[in-house]
Amino acid sequence: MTVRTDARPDAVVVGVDGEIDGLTAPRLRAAIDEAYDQLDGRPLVVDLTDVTFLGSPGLQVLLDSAREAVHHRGFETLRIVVDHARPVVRPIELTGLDAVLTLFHTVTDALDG
Amino acid sequence: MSPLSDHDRSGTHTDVELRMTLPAELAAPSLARERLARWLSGHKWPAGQRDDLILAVSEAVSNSVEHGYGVDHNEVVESGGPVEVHGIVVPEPGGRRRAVLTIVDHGSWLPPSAVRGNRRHGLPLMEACVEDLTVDGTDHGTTVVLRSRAVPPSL
Repeated sequence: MTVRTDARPDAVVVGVDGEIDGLTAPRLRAAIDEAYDQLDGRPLVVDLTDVTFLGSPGLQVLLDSAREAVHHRGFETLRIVVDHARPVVRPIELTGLDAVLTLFHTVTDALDG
Repeated sequence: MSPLSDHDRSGTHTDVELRMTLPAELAAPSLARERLARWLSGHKWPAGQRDDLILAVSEAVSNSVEHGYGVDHNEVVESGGPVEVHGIVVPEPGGRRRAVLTIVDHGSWLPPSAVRGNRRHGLPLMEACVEDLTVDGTDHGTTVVLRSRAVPPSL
């Protein structure tokens, strides 16, 4: 898994590539925590478009991070981007997290809010 | 062509059974996913069902490593022993097939109610991805048996 943080004028985008499991999930969590600290009023977008595997440790990070949003200044809901890739969409739907998380199909949609 | 044939038309060898012994490490689920993906591809498993089985087995191995053997990111744990994964393809009347995957560890079992965090999502995920899930936990380890949904014959 690789994580890349892109601080744009309109948002901070954390892009993830590869597999999110028990081995890699803590690195995603750390990247999201760091991104929260540099938001300065901008929304945080987590782009999972290039994720090839999402297991329960990754789901837990998404859930914890979404809950974490309320503790930051100028509170904005955590925006998560997933396309139609089954290995990512399926675990989110099976656990009912699609009803809890704020999901978008593209980064552009997420930036439009 | 028998559904249990160990050679496909291209002559590429696919083991009838899957057997792997994994170390109790955080990388074990990733190793299990890679080997299982190759084995299921060799058996021409439909993509959707393949993804579901990979997710279920990954969760089971992850439970064995993190809960059975207590391995986590914050402390170094003496190697508690291996996680064993065994898979077979079982033919059904009409040529349909199921995969039966067994994940065994020799660590300690905690009932789901005693576990917080990832495990809360892990067991429901495993259940949703297969036809049938059994978890047999004792003081000497845990055996998880995952029985897949039936898939069409491999042509």
